Amino acid sequence: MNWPIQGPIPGIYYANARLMRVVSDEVSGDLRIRVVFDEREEREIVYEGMYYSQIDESNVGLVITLATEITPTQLIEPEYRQAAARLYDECGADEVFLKDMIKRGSRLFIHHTDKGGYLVLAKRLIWKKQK
Amino acid sequence: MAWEVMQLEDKNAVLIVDDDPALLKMSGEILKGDYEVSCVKSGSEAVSLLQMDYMPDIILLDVDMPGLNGFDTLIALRQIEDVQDIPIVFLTGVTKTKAELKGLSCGAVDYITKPFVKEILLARLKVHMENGKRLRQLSMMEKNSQEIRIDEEKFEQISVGLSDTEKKILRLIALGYTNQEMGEALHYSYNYVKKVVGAIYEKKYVSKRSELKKLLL
Repeated sequence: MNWPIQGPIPGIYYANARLMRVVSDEVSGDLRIRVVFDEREEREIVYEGMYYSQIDESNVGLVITLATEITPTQLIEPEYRQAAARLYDECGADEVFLKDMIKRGSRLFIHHTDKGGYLVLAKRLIWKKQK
Repeated sequence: MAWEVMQLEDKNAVLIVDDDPALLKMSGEILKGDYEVSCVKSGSEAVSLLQMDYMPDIILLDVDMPGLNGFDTLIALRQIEDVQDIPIVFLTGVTKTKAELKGLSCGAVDYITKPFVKEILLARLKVHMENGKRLRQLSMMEKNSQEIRIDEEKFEQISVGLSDTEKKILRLIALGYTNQEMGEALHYSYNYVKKVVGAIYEKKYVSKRSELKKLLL
């Protein structure tokens, strides 16, 4: 129970994770990545309801220094411009489209790496239980 | 050092509006297992809250409150964009036909008398929640057809060779709908939607929904 209500705010999801495996199921709309923290702890993360992803199999080995959530209006900021340009180029997602998706519950995740930012547009990020 | 923020499981959100703290606590306890519960103690707090980014899936609204009563609160809430399609259920300690009629004519979807039985409350909330979601999907589709424009000429060209169902799904993909949303909007099962999406990809020689969307630019 929340007293008073706090609306959803952009958060930080994880940091310093090396990509070990990427499986993108475009028919189901799920992106599954396997990452390793501190070169020891492996975890699987699933982006459910994924509409678009700039992370794919070619990114295996990349280190995600920070995974956060941003709003469509933040895409004009210099640090996100490259990812934003790619988003528009690859699927024509403009601000109207993105705002509508956010309104319907999608989230814009940005993954910071030394090669730039990688966007994923999905409904939710789920941590899979370790077996 | 590795760290993470665990993502909460996505539960439907219920907002309870009642000036009785005991009722808020009791209702919260009943509902918290199945829902993400939030509470406010007055109609004016509810209005302020919904004017911000918070959007519950259903609202339980007490009728007899000081200041803004339940009826006036409902009217004020319905003025807020996007709240119009959220189902509102009145809670009352007294059953009076006249009051019940007034509540329903204001736009409430149901009227539950206190004290309520847990199973009945949960069952009725579930029904109204599902109806509310369906309405919001339809409403969103109507708004989308005005705000996000699909190039209809291109759509006709691209959808050559697709069945009627595939065309419906293609249109929703272009609008950014996920499989689950498409299933809810069109009353198809998730697996059926997935099958149709796969068929569209094959027919149009694409492997991603963003590629489909781009075709319609």
